Amino acid sequence: MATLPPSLLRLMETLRCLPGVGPKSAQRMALHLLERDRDGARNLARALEEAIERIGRCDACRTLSETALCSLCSDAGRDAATLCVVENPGDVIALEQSTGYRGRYFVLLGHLSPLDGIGPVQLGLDSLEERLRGGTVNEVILATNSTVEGEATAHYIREMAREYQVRATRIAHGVPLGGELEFIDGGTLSHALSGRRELE
Amino acid sequence: MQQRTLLQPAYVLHARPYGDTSLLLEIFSLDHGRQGLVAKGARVRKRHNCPLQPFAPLLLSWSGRGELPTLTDCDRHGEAMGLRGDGLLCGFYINELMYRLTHRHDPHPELFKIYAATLVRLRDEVSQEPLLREFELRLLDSLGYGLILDHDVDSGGPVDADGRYTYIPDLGPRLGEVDGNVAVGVSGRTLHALQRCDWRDVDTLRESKRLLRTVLHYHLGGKPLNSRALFRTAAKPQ
Repeated sequence: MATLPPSLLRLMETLRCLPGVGPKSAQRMALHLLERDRDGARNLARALEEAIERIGRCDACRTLSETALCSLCSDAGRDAATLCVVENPGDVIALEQSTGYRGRYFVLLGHLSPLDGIGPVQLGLDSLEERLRGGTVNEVILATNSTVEGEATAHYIREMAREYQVRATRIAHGVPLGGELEFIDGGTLSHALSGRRELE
Repeated sequence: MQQRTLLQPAYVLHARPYGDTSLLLEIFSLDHGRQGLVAKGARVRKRHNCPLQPFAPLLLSWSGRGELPTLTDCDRHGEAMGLRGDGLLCGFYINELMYRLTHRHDPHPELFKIYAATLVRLRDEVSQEPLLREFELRLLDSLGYGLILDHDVDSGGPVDADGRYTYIPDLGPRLGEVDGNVAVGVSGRTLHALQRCDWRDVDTLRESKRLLRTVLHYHLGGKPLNSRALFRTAAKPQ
C-alpha cells in the first residue's frame, strides 16, 4: 500500500463512509473515477459540495430542504389540516411516490428509544405539540414503523393529540398485496385479523 | 475454543442497528443473564419469521468467544406479548431497569421468570402501578439489594404499623423523621403492606412509589431513567 499516492489513499478511505462500502469496493470506486471517469468525479465532488452547503432541515416538518420551508410544507394546494407523522425523510419519499396523500408531513428523524437516550425532546415532539395546540390540524396520521419503538412513539403522540382534541389515526398493518396467508408471520396475521374491515 | 449455546429461552431488551445490515442485541436469557449478541444480516433477512424485538419470548442460539458472540438461530417460544399503549411504555421502563441494574454474564434464572411473568401481567392487567412496584421490589431482591421491611435497623425490633420511619437506601428503615437528602420518609403501615405486596390502599401505593424511586435512584448511581420521560398521563411509573 505504501506505493499508492497519499491522495488516492485518502480518497479510498473517505469513500468508506458510504453505507455498504468496504475497503475493496472503495478501491474499485476510486480507481474507476480516476482512470475512467474524471468528469463524473468532478461532478460528484461539486454536487456533494453543493448539497452539503444548501440542504438543511425544513422549519415546519424537519425533512431535508433547501429552503426554510420545504416544497411540501409551502404548497398551498396541500391540506394543512391533515398531518402525517413519519420516522425518516425516506418515508416521506415512499409515501409521496406511491400514495395519493395530499396533506402535510412531520418527520421525527427517529423513534422513541429510552436505552439510546432518545426521548420526546430529541424527536422534536415539543414543536409537534405546538402545532397541535395551534388548532390548524384536525387529524394526525401515525405512520411510524411497525416495531415496538414505532408503536410506542405512535402511542405517545396519540396521547398528545387527545389532549388537544385532535383525531389520531394509525396506518393499517396486515397482509401485503399479493401475499399468501400461509407465509405471513403470526404477528402480522393476528394484526390483520383484528383490524379486519367490512367488505364494500 | 468456540462456545455454543443452544435454544436458550431469552428476551431482547434492546436492539440497535449495527453496520449496514446487522443488529446489536442486548438480551436477557434464562441461564446466562444479560448478554450482548450480534445478529448478522438481521435487518435484511428475516430469519424464520422471527422478529428480534423486545417483549417476545424467543429461543436463541449463539456461538463465539468474547464479549459479542454471534446469533446463530432464533425461534419463537410462545406468543409475542402484543403490549399496547401504556403497557408498552411500562415495558420500556422495566427493560431500562433490567439493562441498567443487571450485569452482563451474571445469571439470574429467578429474575428471568419474574420478568417473563411481569410482561404477561402488563398485557393482561388494567392497573399497571401495583405490578410495576412488585417488579421493582423483586428485581432489587434478586440482585441482592432487597429492601428491609420487617425491622428497625437501629433497635432490631419489628416495624410498628403506627410509626414514622426514615428509609436510608443502603441501610434500611430507622424510626424518626427524615434527615439527609438521600433518605425518604415512610410509614410503618406502608412497610407492612410492602411485605405482603398489598396495594389496596392509595396511600401505600403513593408512599411505595416514592420509597422505591429513592432506592432505585441510589442504585442507578443518581442517573435518571430515560423511559420516565415517555409517560404523559396518569400511569407514570415513578
